[in-house]
Amino acid sequence: MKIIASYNIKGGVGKTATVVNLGYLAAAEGWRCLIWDLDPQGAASFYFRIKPKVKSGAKGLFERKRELADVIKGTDFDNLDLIPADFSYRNMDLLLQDGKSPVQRLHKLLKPFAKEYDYILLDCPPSISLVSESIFYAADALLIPMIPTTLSMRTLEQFLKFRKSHDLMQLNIMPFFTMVDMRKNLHRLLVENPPLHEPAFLKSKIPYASEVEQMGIHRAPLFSFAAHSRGAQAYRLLWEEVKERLHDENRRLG
Amino acid sequence: MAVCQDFSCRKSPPAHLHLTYYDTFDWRLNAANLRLYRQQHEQDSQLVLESLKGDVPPSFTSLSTVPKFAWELPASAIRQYIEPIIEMRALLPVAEIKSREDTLRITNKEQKTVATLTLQQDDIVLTSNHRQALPPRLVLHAVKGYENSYQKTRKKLEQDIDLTVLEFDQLLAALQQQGIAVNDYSSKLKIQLEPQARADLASKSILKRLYQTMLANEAGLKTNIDSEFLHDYRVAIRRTRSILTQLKGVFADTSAEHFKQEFAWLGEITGPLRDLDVHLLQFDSYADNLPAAHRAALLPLKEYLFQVREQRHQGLLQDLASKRYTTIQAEWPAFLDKETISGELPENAAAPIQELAKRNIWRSYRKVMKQAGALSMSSPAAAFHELRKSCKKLRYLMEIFQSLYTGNEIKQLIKHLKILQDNLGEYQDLDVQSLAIKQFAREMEGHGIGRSDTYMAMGILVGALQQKKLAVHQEFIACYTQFARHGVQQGFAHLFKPVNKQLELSQ
Repeated sequence: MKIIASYNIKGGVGKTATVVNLGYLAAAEGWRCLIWDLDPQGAASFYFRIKPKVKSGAKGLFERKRELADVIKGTDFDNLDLIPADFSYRNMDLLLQDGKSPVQRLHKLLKPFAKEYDYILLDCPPSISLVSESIFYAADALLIPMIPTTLSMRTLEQFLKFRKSHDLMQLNIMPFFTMVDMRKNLHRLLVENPPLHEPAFLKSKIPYASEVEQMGIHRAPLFSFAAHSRGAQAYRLLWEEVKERLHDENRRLG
Repeated sequence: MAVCQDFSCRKSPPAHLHLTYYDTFDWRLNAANLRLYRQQHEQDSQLVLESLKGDVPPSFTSLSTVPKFAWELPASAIRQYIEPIIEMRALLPVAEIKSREDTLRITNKEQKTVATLTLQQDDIVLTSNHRQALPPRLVLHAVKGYENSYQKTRKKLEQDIDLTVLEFDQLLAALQQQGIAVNDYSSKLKIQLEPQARADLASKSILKRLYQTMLANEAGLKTNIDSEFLHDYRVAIRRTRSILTQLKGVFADTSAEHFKQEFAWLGEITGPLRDLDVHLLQFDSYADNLPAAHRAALLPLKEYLFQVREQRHQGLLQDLASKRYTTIQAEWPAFLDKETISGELPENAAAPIQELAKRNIWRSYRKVMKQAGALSMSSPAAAFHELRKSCKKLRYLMEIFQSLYTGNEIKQLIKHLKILQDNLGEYQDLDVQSLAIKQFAREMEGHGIGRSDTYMAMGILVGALQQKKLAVHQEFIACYTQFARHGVQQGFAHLFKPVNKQLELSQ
């Protein structure tokens, strides 16, 4: 089982679209996938037409009054399940703080699913908090979707500083550009000359495309209504590259 | 439909599906409570794996053709799950169904599917132009996390339309229509013997079963479906030989001698092909023995092994088409069906089978203990090889006559024997394999196949195998000690030692 998180301190950068579309692709390939919509705004749940509600809320899950397995919902797509968002997730930091080893608790909740799922994708809330730290601890890879702008680059730098100061250098980080509009000078400049060598940006980039926005109207992954679109093709390439990076990482670890 | 008055429903266009179920020749997927099928719908084709017990979530993977072996499947959850179950066995189509599905998706306020109700009309494909229709069924599928909706719909169907719930297995229904019994083949020798049955009749019943196993595997080994047809065929030959050579005085000497020779010949003509199968089955572990940089260089060896295998397979086909084999096929079943005339009974023919089994297993066990006791770590490899052969003979006898013993004791003793036998087997296999690889290298060089890096990789492999052989040999003492310990000895004596000898000891 591999845990992949889609994360950025900033909101509105395409984290949810990444999780929903990569989850769909992995499932369509024949892998059993689970998406956990950790963002209390519940966008991933919305895309799958699943009510953003978890009985007993985050408290029930972390205090083991309700098993995580009992709140999983089947999506309308084969191999693809979802744990919905819940408004109570906004208090997740406080809940984590209350228990022992707060950073490890999320991982502990997910570990028992190793036999049932091949990939778990986490749609993370935009912040840098204890929840984020737990995600960094649990994840095998951290996808960082970024709009090619100066402010985005700044948030990435902030995150990298945080990583260094929190002993997270082993975390497999995969930043990549989203909502790319090559007509814009700055976008072109940053995409063609990614400012960082380490961690290296993924080559795949997601274009600014109306069909990606339409996921909110169709309430479904891109592939179910625009399978041959430019956006869909970009997500396919992104998934291939993510798998390759994960594979390389496996080999590196021996 | 009544359901739609109470729930929000969306009708999907009718789907015409073509389902092909797969399993191995020895029904490994069925034994693991799994169903594997390819579902074709218009241009789409996907492979589906379902668990009958519901302990594994169903998995789906898109693919146009189903490969022969699990390792040829695309990387997917299905492959990960079934590869350790079916191992080297080929996936064979076992049933074909053409199905029309009319599906209603039951949805909630968000238009999310919370259950599906499908009217399913199946036609079993018997031949290309002959189909058998099954009664239509309504199938209600639950969606994870929406069990309430499933229960409500089910209640509605049961109460308002008066439908009853039916346990239905589409594969079993299809097989039944074709007259195929699921689990109609197993490589295990399952035969219940009566302890007091006459030795000759009981032995013949085992030999008949073994002959059926040979026949069941013949087509598969001739058409090269997978390596296990030949393997099971050879195991049946060896078990047959064990009975003929070890149960003395049960059959007339002349007949026993004649068939002993014929089955020895069958063992000889099938052996070289099996050796190559073992090399090919172990090829990945051969490569694992090498440093990563040398692994690719070993591939010409694999190609060469396939090439030689093809030649040996052709040779075997010629042998199996020979007059000698045809004669065995006529004489052997005739011998097995022939009734023995009471006046001419050989000395042990009428003895109770259990008594004879006991005596032979005890004798065989004593021989193993004597040979093993005389060995030291510096004994020649040939002496260990002799011990391995004796262990094999003992194992066959114990397996053949297992049904005469109730309880778990015999199974436990077989397990102990197996530990010793596996050690001896691995030791000898590694020896034979390293010699064979040297020989292949000479042959490949002679034929101008392979490059210098291939020969170098083969050389490293031989070195690695020989090192492994030494390590295995070091484990012999521990394996023998567990087999020779007092409790195991007592177990053998308890089950197999003739009573008069036990009395002598106790006095």
